[in-house]
Amino acid sequence: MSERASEPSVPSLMELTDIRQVFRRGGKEVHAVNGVSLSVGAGETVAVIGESGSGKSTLGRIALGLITPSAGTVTFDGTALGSLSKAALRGIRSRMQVVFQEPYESLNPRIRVGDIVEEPLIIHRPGMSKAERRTKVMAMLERVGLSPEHAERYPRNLSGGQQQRIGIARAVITEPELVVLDEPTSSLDVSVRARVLDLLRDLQREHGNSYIFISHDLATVGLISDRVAVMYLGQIVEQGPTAEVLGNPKHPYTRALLSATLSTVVGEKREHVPLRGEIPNPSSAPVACVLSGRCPIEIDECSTGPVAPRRVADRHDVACLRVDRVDDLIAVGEPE
Amino acid sequence: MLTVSGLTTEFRTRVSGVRAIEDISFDVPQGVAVGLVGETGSGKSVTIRSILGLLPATGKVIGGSAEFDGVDLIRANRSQLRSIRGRRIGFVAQNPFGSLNPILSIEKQFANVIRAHRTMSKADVRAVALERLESVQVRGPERVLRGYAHELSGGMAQRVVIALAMLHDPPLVIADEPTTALDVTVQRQILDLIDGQISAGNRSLLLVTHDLGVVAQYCQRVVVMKSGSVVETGAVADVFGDPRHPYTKQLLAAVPPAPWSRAAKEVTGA
Repeated sequence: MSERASEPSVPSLMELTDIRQVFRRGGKEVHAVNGVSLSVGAGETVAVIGESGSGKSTLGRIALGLITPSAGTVTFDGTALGSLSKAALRGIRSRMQVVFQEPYESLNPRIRVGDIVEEPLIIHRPGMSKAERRTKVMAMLERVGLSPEHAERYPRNLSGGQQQRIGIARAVITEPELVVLDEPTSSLDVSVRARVLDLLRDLQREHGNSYIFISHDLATVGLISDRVAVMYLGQIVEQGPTAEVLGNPKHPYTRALLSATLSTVVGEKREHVPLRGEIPNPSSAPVACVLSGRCPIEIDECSTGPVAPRRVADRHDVACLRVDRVDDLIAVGEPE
Repeated sequence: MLTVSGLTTEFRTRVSGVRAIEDISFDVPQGVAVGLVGETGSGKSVTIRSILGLLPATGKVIGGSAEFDGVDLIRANRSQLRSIRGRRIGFVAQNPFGSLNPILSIEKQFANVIRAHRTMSKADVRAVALERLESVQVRGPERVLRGYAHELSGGMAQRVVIALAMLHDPPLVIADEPTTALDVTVQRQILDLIDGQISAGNRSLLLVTHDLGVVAQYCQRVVVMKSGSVVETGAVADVFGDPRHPYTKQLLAAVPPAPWSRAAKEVTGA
């Protein structure tokens, strides 16, 4: 049942294999993540794309070891997280960090900026002296585009973009090998967003770390990721190199997401790929293709059982029975 | 249709007044969709709340006018405003669950909106509500009418809000970030719906958004705001094709191209 994860073109840092996460809510089972396999290469950025309820944030928390999955294995640098003692898990977690969507809510409002950025060093670098830590904090603040005076301020006195820079500074100060970015730019204005993405890219170039970039915005993902995994109702429906998935999308859901992105070029409106209705609650294990009931090109076979991914091009996997017909049935490319 | 001129609004703080918008002027002509764009703090929401008389108690319009139907909305008294809002101007807010009453059935809310401006029997209210829900493509309208807001998905709730806003066939619709709270694949359905309702009735639309793509594809005119002032206004094709103000240029340049567009293909080499 487990499908091989679409492989990165560099040595793998993290392997998620056949991950399942079942929550119980009001006596019902919610399958938030349902058989996901994903591999993240060293120094690579993998985007996980999906709408609310797709399971993308849950997957991010599983990767960080914050949630133990109901089934499946998470391997970081060759070590399975599930096999580790609490102390060993803490050790490995110090090599991973996270940046959240809402910068203000993820920063303690009573703590000064300098102390916020210093905290991970106190926890993860116990051998470091206070003076060393302070020097590192000041260098880090400068690195993310803030000045030493910001160290004495409180988060509320800073703009949204500055707050997110602090979130990033706090995440990368221990030089983690993996940073999970959970919608890091979604709450920021466009002009600020572009600069934060530049910063993330520059930091990656300097440290060679990997990113898991969780987002609902395909346009942003196109700018920063090497590979993309598109999630819907707890499953990856399509994954592959970014240029391949965005330039030659093969799953009807990816097409629908892409067609919902509007161009700022007047008259350049892409043909809308309509999905019927809205995302259902992931309350039951799928007995059919996850998109059945909403898909514009489904056939009877689509509802007979879950659909396994198939390779359609180099490292490009798609879970759709109609994959050979998608091009004929849903127009692609430029509008007339 | 709507002429805003010199609109200036202040918010009271403990020490002094803070000017939120200053000298805002623009027109919304008959049958035209106007996009009001800007980033956080640009004053776009304050502008429409000033026009609609929906400012919080600390806010006050201190200058300018907003002429609609021969009435200055800024100087109109409460009963004049109430008769215009809902009947002549439909309003769609960002969060549909904030617009709907959580403890009244959807049918009761249709009845309230209809009876705010005319008398109608229960049976007729029901018939009108069903017809309007069908026109906004709500599935199972009978069931929706009997039910409550919390039973609806975000997209369905926004459809109900749009049906309510359109009940009296207002010549002007003001929508404040109507799709921001919705999932991406639902956003476009709702924009197409609003677009269809506007074009069908030759109505005017004032659409507040931070999304330049929405303006490019759904509006004919645009007003660009920054820090409480209008920096550029004009036909969308002109402003987006050849922006004059540095801020408009910067804003347009910051938006990544739609992944399927010609520009994106040049970037990714796809």
